[in-house]
Amino acid sequence: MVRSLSADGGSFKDPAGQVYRISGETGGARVVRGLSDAAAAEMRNLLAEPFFQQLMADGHVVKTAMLDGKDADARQVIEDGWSGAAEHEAVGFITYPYEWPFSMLKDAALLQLRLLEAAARNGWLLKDATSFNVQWMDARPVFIDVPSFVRWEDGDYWRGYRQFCATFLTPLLLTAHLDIPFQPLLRGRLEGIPPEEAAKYFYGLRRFKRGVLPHIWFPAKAEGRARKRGGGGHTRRRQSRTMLLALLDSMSRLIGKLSYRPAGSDWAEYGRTHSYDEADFLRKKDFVRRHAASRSPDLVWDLGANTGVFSRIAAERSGTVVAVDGDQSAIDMLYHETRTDCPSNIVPLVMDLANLSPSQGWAGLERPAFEERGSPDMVMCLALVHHMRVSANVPLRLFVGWLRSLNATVMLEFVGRGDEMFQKLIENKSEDYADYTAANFEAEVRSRFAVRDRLKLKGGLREMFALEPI
Amino acid sequence: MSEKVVVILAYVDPGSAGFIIVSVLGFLAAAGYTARAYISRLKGMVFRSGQDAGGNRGQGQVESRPGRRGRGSGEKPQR
Repeated sequence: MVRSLSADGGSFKDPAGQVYRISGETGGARVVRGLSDAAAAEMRNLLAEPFFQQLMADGHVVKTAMLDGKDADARQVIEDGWSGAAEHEAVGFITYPYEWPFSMLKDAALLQLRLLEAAARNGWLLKDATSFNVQWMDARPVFIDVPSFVRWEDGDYWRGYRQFCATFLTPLLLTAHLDIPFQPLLRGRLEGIPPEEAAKYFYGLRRFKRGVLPHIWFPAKAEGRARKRGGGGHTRRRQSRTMLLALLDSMSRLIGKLSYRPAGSDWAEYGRTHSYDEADFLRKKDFVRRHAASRSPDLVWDLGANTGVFSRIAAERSGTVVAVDGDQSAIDMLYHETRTDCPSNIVPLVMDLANLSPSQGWAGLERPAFEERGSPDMVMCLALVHHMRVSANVPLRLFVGWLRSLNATVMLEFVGRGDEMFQKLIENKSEDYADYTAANFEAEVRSRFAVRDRLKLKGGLREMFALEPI
Repeated sequence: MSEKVVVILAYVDPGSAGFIIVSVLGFLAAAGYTARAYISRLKGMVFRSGQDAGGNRGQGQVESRPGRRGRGSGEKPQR
């Protein structure tokens, strides 16, 4: 059987290793890391450490095992120029920190500190501390960059501190203290927010907010002084373990106390404030349940998911449901529910639906676009079309055409012009959106999809569609 | 004539102050950690000595509470 080997575009920074995705005609993609001689030896040492085995068993670090030369996929990787190969458990759907709500970044930050503490207590360090090294499996943060664990050599200190602050702590402080969403900042700066830039947000008395003086203001001053000096001046000195552990403890307590409570959110109260009567709401739920169950899709996108009422229904019979919404507090609420009473196969993401994450980084390959990280089998966009037309100014033709390009079953709810929510959207608009009619919508749909099922709601003001691409 | 040193910023590692920063913060955190440990120990000593001054009520208090806890949790005290 032919199996294709493709190098991961984001795995080029470490000269001692390279991640490959290996997939066959029948699916079943594996994630295999090619390793240099020294890196393979270090990996074997790490895998033999009891603390590391415990971290894997607890689900904090991605499950990893060395492969021997009998494994056909390992042989392919070795033939590509590596001395050894290790396999990592594959992550269902790759996400990036600029798509996470506040609580996901916070939990990922606490995981990073916990791992570093466990490593430091056992004679190891984490050489990197970027939030891109964390992914999500079963609604839990999982550390995936195993070669970041290195032996704590004499003369070493926590070199990842700056990176940790730039990609975890500073974004959290900006959102918690100043209500500035960190997602656009992290999307614009993949290396995170440097202290001198962050210090400009915390001017005047703002610098006295919790955690700002030690982790933003002081590093900004120290770096500014080092830059004026022309850098250098650093002699190799070992940071004591006690000081590192105390610093980690203090940072964990600081992050643990950070919270984000936005003053008002459009959708966070959705479960209580939607515009349906109870009977229609139940019929809508039943429609979603029936069509999700009939397909049992591997990957579902719920676009405009708000607090995930329908993501949860779809998740009952699906592999993974990626729930996307532009409202951080609604998605934050959904994340908390996935940690408690919700199916854990939901991946909640914050994203502007008129500006989905693009391909970014080196050669546009380092962080693939949202649409390139997996083809959905089913796309749900319930009561989204009117927002795309009015708020984002995307013509119906373009939106329906884009849905067709995904080549997936679509479950869609059309909100008619007479609906009070549509009227509310256009009340301050000068344009009348004349193309936005049920007849135009249906014509656009029928030229690209077969209508398998439909259901009128709210006395015909809204209509649910189950569509198959033709 | 004095030489003017021109620093080209693109060549300066932004993390060159890293060791100083983590050392200072680590020292402060360790000092804070130690201070909290001493304060906690001091509180413990004061609390214990207060109990001793009241006639060593530690064990007695635990035994005398079921009635109060019973009211709080809706349980009836045993008769």
